[in-house]
Amino acid sequence: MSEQSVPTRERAPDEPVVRYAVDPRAERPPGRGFKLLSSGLGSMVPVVVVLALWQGGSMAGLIDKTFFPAPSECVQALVELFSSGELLPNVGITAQRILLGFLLGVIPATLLGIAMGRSRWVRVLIDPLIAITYPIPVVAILPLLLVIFGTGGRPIVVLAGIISFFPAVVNAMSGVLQVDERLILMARNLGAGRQQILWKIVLPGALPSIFAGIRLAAGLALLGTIAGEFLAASDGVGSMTWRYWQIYQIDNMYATLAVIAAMGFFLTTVTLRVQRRFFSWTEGQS
Amino acid sequence: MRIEIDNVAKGYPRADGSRLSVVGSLSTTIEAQEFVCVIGPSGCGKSTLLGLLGGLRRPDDGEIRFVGERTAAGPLTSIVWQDYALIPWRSIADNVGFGLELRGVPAARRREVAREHLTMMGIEAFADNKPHELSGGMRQRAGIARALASDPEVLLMDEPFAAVDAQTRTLLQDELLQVWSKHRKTVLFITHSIEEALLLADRIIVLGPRPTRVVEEIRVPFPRPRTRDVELDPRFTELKRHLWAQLRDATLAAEWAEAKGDR
Ligand SMILES: Nc1ncnc2c1ncn2[C@@H]1O[C@H](COP(=O)(O)OP(=O)(O)O)[C@@H](O)[C@H]1O
Ligand SMILES: [Mg+2]
Repeated sequence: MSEQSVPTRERAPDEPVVRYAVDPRAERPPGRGFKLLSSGLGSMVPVVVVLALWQGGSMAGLIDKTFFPAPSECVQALVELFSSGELLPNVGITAQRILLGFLLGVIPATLLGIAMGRSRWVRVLIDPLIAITYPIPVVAILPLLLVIFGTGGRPIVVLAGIISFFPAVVNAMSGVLQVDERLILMARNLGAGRQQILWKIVLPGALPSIFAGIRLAAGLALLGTIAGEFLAASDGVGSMTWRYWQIYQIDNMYATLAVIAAMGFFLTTVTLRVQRRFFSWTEGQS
Repeated sequence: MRIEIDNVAKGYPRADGSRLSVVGSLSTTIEAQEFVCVIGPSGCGKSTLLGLLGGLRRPDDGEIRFVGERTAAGPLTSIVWQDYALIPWRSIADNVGFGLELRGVPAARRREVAREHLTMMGIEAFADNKPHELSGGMRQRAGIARALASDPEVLLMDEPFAAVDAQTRTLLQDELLQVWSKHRKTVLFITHSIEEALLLADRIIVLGPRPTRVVEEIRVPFPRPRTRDVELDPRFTELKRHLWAQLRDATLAAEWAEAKGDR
């Protein structure tokens, strides 16, 4: 090929020229400060700032100490609750209730959701029941649970179970329904039977959605357990919160709230890790 | 095996309760080891016909018969899909071995067969990748490898190269010709490209608009092994013109029907 096969023409001096004025902000990369703040450790900065403001405001008398005792006092209260041996057994009790309630809700919910996704008969029979019961605020049936299961841990576990049932069943069903129909046809063409399609296509395909439901359920099991303990328990972290509120030991109340928050944080982080680890393929398609 | 398609009809229920007739009493025979291309206007029922041949749907009327001794170990047919239909959470090798897995072939043997077919399609380097990490052309090579690895009597291909770019399509056509010349399985290949049909097929079946039936069958005269040079043959141009004349009116009619919402 010749290098000058297409001759070009010089621009005449008076030819008008137009250029775009591209907004330089459109492609500015994130700066160093932003990167620092969005890193793992950097994300602690806003938390620390708020706590520091709170501490400072409290010490300067700008914040009402009766409702917002300084963080340092809450930490002290937490240490005392821990060293007096009161805290850990109650954390154990609450954790056990969360876990039992979670399993009680999630296992039948996932199985039922899968059955609903696979069979239009099961779906048409169960769907109306879920539609009617879903909107009921489950805490409202706590009195009923107390009548049925008596006092103690059992009604609380059942409450946590019922609350975590719903997101798990709905997500399992929609996960199964959303499995790529073409993959099912592909498998059938290659000779797959119903069982093989279920185990090799439908369940793995629905797994990310099933797991998303399970994550929601874990959070709700915690919520249900704490709410139940507020109202109907004499042990567990939730009942401690409630009790310290009633006897007006606000710093102790905050200490128990911090423990609940930590349990919630632990739940979301662990489940998120599992999700990232096992379901990273969900980002791509066929 | 030979496929006898005997007065096959298929329709779908419409929303208003009536029935949309898609394949109207269609008959033809595909000989063992024959490479047949099917062309027809879009929406005429080519994929529906392929689904009937692949055992995904039952004909409303008529019969499809696979005749002759079974020569392959796998299913009667395996389909190569236009949009690949690879399982996104499996590696390419596990996708290719899927047909074998379904019939209980042990894992070691599966891996061996998968590797063999990946090598044949030139994508052994991607054995451990996930489908979404591959280009369209690579994915379709994996799709072909899966279909062949499952060892069917008949290979059914539904516009397999329609979703890849023109250059890659050219490569894939050449590769398919090569691979086919080795195993010589019976192939039914749907395409909307007349040139593709003339390059690949022993015989071309032209389908008419819906409800579709065979408008014409022509034998492609070029000897095998074939290369792209058939395009230089004067008969190529002549056949191309003839086929386009067959398709033109039906294609126009199909476009009108679609625009009027008659589906
Ligand atoms: N599962 C289905 N249900 C209802 N109508 C369908 C279904 N599959 C295809 N059709 C209709 O049947 C006609 C033929 O479709 P198809 O066989 O995919 O055509 P082609 O592959 O020739 O483009 C189209 O009008 C399409 O809308
Ligand atoms: Mg089609």
